[in-house]
Amino acid sequence: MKIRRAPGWRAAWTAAGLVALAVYLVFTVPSSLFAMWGRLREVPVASHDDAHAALMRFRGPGYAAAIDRIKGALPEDSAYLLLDSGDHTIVRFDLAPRRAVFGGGLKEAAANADRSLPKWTVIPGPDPPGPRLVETSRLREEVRP
Amino acid sequence: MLLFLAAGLGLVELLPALRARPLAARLGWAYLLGVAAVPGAVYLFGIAFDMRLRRGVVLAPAVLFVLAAIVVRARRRGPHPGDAFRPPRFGHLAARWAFGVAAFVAAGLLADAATHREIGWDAEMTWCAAARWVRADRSVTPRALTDVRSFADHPQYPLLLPIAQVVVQETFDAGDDPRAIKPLYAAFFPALLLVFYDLARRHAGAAAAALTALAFAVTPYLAFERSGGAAGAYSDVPLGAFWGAGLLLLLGRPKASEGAAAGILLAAAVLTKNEGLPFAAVALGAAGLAAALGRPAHRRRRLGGLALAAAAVALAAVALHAWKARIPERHDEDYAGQLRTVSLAKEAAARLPLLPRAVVRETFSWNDWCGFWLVSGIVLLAGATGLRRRVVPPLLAALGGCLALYVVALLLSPWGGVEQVHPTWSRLLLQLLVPLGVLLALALRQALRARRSALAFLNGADIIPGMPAENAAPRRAFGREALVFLAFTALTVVMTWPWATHLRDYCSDTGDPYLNSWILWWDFHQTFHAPFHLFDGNIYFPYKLSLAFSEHNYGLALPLFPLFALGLRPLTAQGILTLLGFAFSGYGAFRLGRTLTGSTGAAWVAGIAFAFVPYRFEQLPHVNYLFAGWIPILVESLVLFLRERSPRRAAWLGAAFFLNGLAVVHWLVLTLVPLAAIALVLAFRTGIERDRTGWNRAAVALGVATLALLPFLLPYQRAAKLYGFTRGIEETRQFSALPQDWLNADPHNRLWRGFSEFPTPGERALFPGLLLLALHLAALLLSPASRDAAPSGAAGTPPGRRLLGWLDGISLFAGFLALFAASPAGIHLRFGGKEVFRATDPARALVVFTAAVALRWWLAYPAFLPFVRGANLKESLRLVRQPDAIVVGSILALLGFFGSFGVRFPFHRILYEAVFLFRSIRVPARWATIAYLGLAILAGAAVLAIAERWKSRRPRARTGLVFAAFCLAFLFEDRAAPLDLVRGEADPDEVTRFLARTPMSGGLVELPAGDEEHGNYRAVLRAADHGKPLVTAVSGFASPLILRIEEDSKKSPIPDDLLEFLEKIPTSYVLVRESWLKPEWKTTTRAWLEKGLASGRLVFVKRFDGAVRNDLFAVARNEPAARPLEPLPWTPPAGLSPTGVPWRTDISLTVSVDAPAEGAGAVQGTLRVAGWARIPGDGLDVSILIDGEMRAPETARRFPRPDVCAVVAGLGDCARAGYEATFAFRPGDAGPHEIVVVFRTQDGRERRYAPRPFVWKP
Repeated sequence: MKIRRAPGWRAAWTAAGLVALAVYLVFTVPSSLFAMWGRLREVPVASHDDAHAALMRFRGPGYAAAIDRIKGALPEDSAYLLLDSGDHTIVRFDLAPRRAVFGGGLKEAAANADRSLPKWTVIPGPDPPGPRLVETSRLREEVRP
Repeated sequence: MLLFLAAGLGLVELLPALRARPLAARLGWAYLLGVAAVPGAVYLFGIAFDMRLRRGVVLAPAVLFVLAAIVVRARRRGPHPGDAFRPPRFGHLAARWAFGVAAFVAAGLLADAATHREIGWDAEMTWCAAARWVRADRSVTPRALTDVRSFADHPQYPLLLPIAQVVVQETFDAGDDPRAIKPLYAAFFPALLLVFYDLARRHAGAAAAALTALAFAVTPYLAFERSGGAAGAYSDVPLGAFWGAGLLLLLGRPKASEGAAAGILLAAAVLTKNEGLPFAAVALGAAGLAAALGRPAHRRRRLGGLALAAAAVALAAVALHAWKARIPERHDEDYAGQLRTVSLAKEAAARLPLLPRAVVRETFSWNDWCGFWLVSGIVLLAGATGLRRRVVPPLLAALGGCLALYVVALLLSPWGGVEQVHPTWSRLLLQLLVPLGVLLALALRQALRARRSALAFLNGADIIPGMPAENAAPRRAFGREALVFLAFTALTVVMTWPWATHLRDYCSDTGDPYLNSWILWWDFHQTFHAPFHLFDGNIYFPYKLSLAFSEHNYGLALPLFPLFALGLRPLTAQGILTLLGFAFSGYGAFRLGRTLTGSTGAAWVAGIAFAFVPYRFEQLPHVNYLFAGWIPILVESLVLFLRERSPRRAAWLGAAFFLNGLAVVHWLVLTLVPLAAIALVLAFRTGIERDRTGWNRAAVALGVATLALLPFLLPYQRAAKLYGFTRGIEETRQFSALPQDWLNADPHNRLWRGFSEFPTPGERALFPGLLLLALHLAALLLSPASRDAAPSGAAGTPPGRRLLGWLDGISLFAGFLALFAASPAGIHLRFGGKEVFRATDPARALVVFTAAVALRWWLAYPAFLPFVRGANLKESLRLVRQPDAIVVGSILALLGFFGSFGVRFPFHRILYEAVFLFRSIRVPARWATIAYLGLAILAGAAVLAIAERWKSRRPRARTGLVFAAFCLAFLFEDRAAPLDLVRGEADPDEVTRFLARTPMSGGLVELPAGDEEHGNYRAVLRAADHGKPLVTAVSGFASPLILRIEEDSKKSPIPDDLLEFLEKIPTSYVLVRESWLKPEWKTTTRAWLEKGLASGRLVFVKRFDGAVRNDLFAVARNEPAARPLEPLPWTPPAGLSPTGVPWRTDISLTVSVDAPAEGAGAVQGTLRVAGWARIPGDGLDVSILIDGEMRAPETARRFPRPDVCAVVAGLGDCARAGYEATFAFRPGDAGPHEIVVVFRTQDGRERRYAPRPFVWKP
């Protein structure tokens, strides 16, 4: 009767590597498959959304309606003054290819409203009510004392 | 996507080296080349000739590639080298799995692209906005980029991917919906994996390449991340694919066509992102190094390929430079300019020390990488010898070069450098994924080659065939045991998901986990402060020995001491221990199963079955009862000792006994009988009962262990005597299981949770799952009887008939006594009108009956007893021929099962009556844990028997599959994830921190005390943070002091003598958690506090914690030095009227509160309070109190109420009779409130209108 000789540390390392990879795969493969199955199940529901519905689902109805309103008012070839806020990058993308001119903060833009700036200003904001379109010349009225 | 694929297939057809690859690989190459070449050509021509990007122009390159391919194919004739779709080089099993999983994930990504509009922040900021500008102006230099006034982030970022978007949109006349272009990015995921597999397979073989690709495919950051990964529209995955594929092509021995392909891909990298150019240069350098290090015979070929690639890269670089010259720079980092103005050495000295920590944090971010890089590190170490290949040095050079560039960029970044690690490091890893993956695959190949020795290592515990398992001396390597434990830990993470991701502050609920957190912390704290007063906890002040009011958990806290020393929060430590409880229970059962069956596979089955039995999830709030790993280890130590009664084994038996008792007193008590039974049965069946030396050793070891445990047990006895704490039998009966409870499934269990009565009985949902129940039958039926357990034939000398007669008489008498005592009337013997004997409880008679019967059977069975083998119990034990696993498993299962019925069944009832230790068991249903261990061992034995039968029928079959299948089945049946967890209050709040630094002569009372919703658990958890004596606590017993405070503080009004009672305790501070007071308590509590403040016996100190409103009051008698730090925030006592005297109540004042209407219930959003206030000749002042506090209204007005004057005569002028105020909803307002409107006259009268409760909703 004999007992199998214990393999050395190299075998231990190899075992550690293979076990680590196996554990990683055991954990991540099912969770990835479940996650992707969830996304596949959404296809029949969400793939029929048009662009507006998709935007509405993503950013909220108020925001989507506001973007549509602004798009209707600003031709694609035009430029507009875009005020600074956390959301201005999103608004600029959703209004592209309209060109944005950076206006800084509301007070700063209002102070410069007399200069040769685009006629329209977009004041970004989250949903609701979403971004607002105001005439640049009336920006001062937006500044509360 | 199909457009690029078609163009790419055309290109592949033109490149002979790629053309010969299998179709699956060609598809990957085709997509990359298609995206590189078609928009690349449009971009270059757009720069060179300023062409208008119309549909015909953007389609032309694609059409040209396809046509050229058709011509070449037609001229070449003959079959195509890679004629069919062949994932068959994917013939390896791992490759098939990888291919299937990756295909499914890719399908999910494409589905996501079709349904979700999100593309990630940077995509919206830069690339996708640029694509819209390019498309609108039909130019690669749109006005939005060239006009310096236009607001564009990173205007000089290369436009290859935006142009690819334009190509897609123009070709299919798609609108602006981002979902139209997302598949373009999603398709890079399968393309990257296919190309990686194709490249890595050449260096590391199919299995390693496929496993690495599989690991990539399920890595969260690559597959799911929108801000950088394939689920968004960033350029990092495309860059990683272009650059990595180009680099690896060059590091092979590239033919001219491969050099050309590498050139196209590296040029695409240049045109994809700004870092593409330096990365491409690094790739060319690495290829040069490979040529220099390679065999001279291949050098010319390598250099030829390199020259082709370099030419393409140079062309792209020149074009990009020309394009950038037309785009004014703004809103972007100017690294070159920075290099001129800042000192690199100075920045390095300042920033480099901070980098490693930030990089480690990102690399090991669980949410992003799920441990991928940790696993990669281990695999690289495991297969380090596999990295001795020619391809590795240039690969390392390329990776090192890119890393150096990244670090330099961080040093020059105007954003602080370290802050940039968070958004960029993981994306850099994606860009370097292909070469990193090749290194990983090389190491993995080496590890796979050595897998036999690794398996031998893992199976080292198994005894070689022919050797009886019982006689082996298992010397298990620490490393292997650690790996087994790690595996159980990993399984625990999965089975308790998502707890591991929220370990810091999540818990099962905010009750017992808080208490256990305090217990663990107190064990740590007191060990280093006053170890001889371990049980004198800082809760239940002024009681002593408060740790003994519940389990002390000292053995559980010990391993956590280093974590506490490192500053871990008690709740976090409790969470870690809970997860380790699963793992350790599994590991313990694994060890016992392995020792009893000699099979690692059976041990895994037993371990998994025991670790994740549904009942354990029911015990999530009770870490101590969940942590049952010492039970199987103790049983194992006993079995090992019985096999070899050496001093070493005896010492281990004693140690295990001590550690089991030190960890959980319940398990110490509940294992006593099973241990004795196992020892008895195994000793007699193996004939070692006369080994006095061995028994002496065991007695010494267990005696020493018991003595060592006494300091942890005696305080319980002292506390019971001191305070009269004993468990009443009715309380114990309530937690004794009924037979149907074994069919009540734990509600956490995903499979069986509907199979339970409602509401689920507390701690009595004992259903262990169908598998565990079914397999124990299989174990009994299938396990072969042991051959060496033959009867000895020695039943001992028959005892005298007289003794047997006495025992029969005693047992009969006791039996009858128990029977009649159990009758409704009991036994009442009267003599001369006086009751001389009474027996209404059968328990003691049952004890005597059991003892007499057991002794009788031990000596000799009665002649009439049927179905027994042998002359007496001793001989019957010798005749037991079942394997150890069946015997031990059955003993545990039977005793645990019957024990779970508690005082409803004679077994535990007898123990309850006869052994004082068992009276401390409040929940006998916890015996079920012992039963589960037995069932788990039987399940392991059953699966072993099944596997052996299968093997005997199919000799070539792998029994490992049987074990794996049952392990998976148990995991499936026991699954409870994702668990419903709550976020606990791990960190101390402001008032707790204040208390921690405030000297205190008495204790702290928290109000509300013991309310139904919160209990006193939070106060106990906070006691672990401030360390001060706490009066209002909670544990296994309630103190009269606390009961008095809880009852009095809920009375209306609160009795005045409560304050005196608190002063006598002595109480130093009263903490009132305002936001927890119900409206009806708020009024009474404030009235009581007002009296205390008015009399000077209470001093308001300060309000803490904002919306929570923790008001701290000092008890002046015990804290004479306490001073107010802030004025009282809520309405103080009425104060003085304008006439200089206190306001006097006058309920005759005619007033009204119209809104909110009485019984209005909920108020949503803004609160409006309105009504009228007027008495003849006087307009009343109106004050509105919300929860007794003045709050600034949003609007307030007085207005005419002619309708009131019309109805109530003599009011006079009603021009200001109406009042109205509105109050905005603020965060934290949600919940029940109370409005009191106070009306005051000029002459010092007031009326407080009846409180109007309402529920405020946002």
